[in-house]
Amino acid sequence: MKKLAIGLYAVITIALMVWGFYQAFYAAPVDALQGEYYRIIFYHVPSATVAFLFFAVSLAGSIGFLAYRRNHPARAQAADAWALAGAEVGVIFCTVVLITGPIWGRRAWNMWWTWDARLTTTLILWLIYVSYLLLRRFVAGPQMQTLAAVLGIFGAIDVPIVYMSNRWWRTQHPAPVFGGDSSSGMAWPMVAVLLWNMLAWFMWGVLILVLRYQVERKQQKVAAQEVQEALNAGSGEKARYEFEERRKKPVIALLFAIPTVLLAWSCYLVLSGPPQPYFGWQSQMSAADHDRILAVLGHKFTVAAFAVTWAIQLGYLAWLGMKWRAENRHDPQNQRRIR
Amino acid sequence: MTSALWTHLVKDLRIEWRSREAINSMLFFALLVVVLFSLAFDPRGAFAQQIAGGVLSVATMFASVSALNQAWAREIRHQVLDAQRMAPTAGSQMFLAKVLANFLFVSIVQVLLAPAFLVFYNLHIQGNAWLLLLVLPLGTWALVANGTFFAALSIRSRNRELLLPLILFPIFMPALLAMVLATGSILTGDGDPSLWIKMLAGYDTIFTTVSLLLFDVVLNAE
Repeated sequence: MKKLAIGLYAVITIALMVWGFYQAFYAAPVDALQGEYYRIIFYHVPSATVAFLFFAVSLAGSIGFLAYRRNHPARAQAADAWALAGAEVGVIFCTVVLITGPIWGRRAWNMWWTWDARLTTTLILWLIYVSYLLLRRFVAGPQMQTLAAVLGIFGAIDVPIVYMSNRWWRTQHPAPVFGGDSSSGMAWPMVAVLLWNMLAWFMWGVLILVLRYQVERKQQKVAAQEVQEALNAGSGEKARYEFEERRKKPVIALLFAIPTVLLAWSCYLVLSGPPQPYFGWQSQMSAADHDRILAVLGHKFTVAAFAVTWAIQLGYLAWLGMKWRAENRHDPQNQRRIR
Repeated sequence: MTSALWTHLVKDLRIEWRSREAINSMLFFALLVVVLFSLAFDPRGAFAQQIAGGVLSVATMFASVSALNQAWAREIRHQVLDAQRMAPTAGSQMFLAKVLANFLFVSIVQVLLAPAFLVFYNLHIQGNAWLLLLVLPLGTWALVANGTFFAALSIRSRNRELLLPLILFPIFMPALLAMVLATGSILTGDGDPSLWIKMLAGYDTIFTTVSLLLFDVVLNAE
């Protein structure tokens, strides 16, 4: 039943992603000022929203860990896993924001990057959470979770500064599209597309977040079991499974080929200009539709932004899958089943 | 209540008075950074005015990181820190004493560095010079308060000297930006630095409060 629910959720998410992609790439009307490349906003803005949301999850997890670490060790462990998952998945979405933004900027401002307040502070936010992830690797032992929770709270305090900076500081970034002055706002068909993509990316983000959480829980469980095993001093079975893992690694590493190819393709697009797609099915389409698809597809910036977004997301998913498999192999329960 | 703070402060000041380790090393390091930047960017005329604030802030930042690491490494030797954890006083008092001591050291370095700085960069201050007396202490406080906190945090890691800049610099960046822009606008005389001074004051208030609240957690992390 649980598996069915998760599967259903995944199917709905993928369907929504496809629908959102269709809407963003084709159905949304062309922007009066910006033309086709404004479509990057449909991936850029939802990614930013989800990143901020997950940094909030990380903050809640950090606070939860500090609150529960004395009285409810089990709850504290879960809170710590949420804190890690929020920070890591948030960094992934923030990376998407930081890469799709410059691609849009190259076309709109004729420069990749500018040291404007909102760009700078988003970059700083990204750096803070990367340093949080680094701290988790550098510090050994159970104190790591406490220290990471403290740094997580410090990092989260920076988030409102980032958000407000858009209004405090003179900035080159477009003014807030919603809730800004009277000239802000979008035409309704575009808002609908943005909302669809927002929902799709949110569901996708939650899926990844929960997956990351589960992997971390599994890791905690395995670590606890290993401590128990070390106490019992019975590790005769270990060597065999480590060997098995090493043998399977090349196969799993193939999963990285897909995002790498996508990334290489988008780099190629950016460097060498738009592709010339051949439509064998063009006879079934009206000439206007055909021209529109060519206009969008031919826009290397939009294609590159979408491709990079997917390369990052799928690459992270593949890495998570690898981690999940590795943890499963270490899980003593599964080992007993294999035996 | 404040006697523990006073004891820690007097102890840190006395150690520094006898060894002069922190101030000497910071001063020489900051001087080196100033000279290196002058060689790298060849500052002359108006350009020197523009980058001087940034060079001063970055020089202070790099210099203080080395001293902040030492501040806690000293306590680790002979398990002094463990003894202090068992003492029946709040850890935040020890933290505040260390911040005050290091704030004093970094400020002394800045005062000593100022003449060299004015000479090397041919500075003549065109804005309100007295505002620097507000901007520099506020920026230094932001650096030292956060730096002392994160030094205590990273002292627990395997490679402690490496970790401090990695976690301190990202958190410190908004304050650095405000400090650089405020000093820049005072030195060149264009723009109003008051917004940045307010931001620095807000940053100091927020992060000092959070540091004081969370220091015991870091000190007793197990």
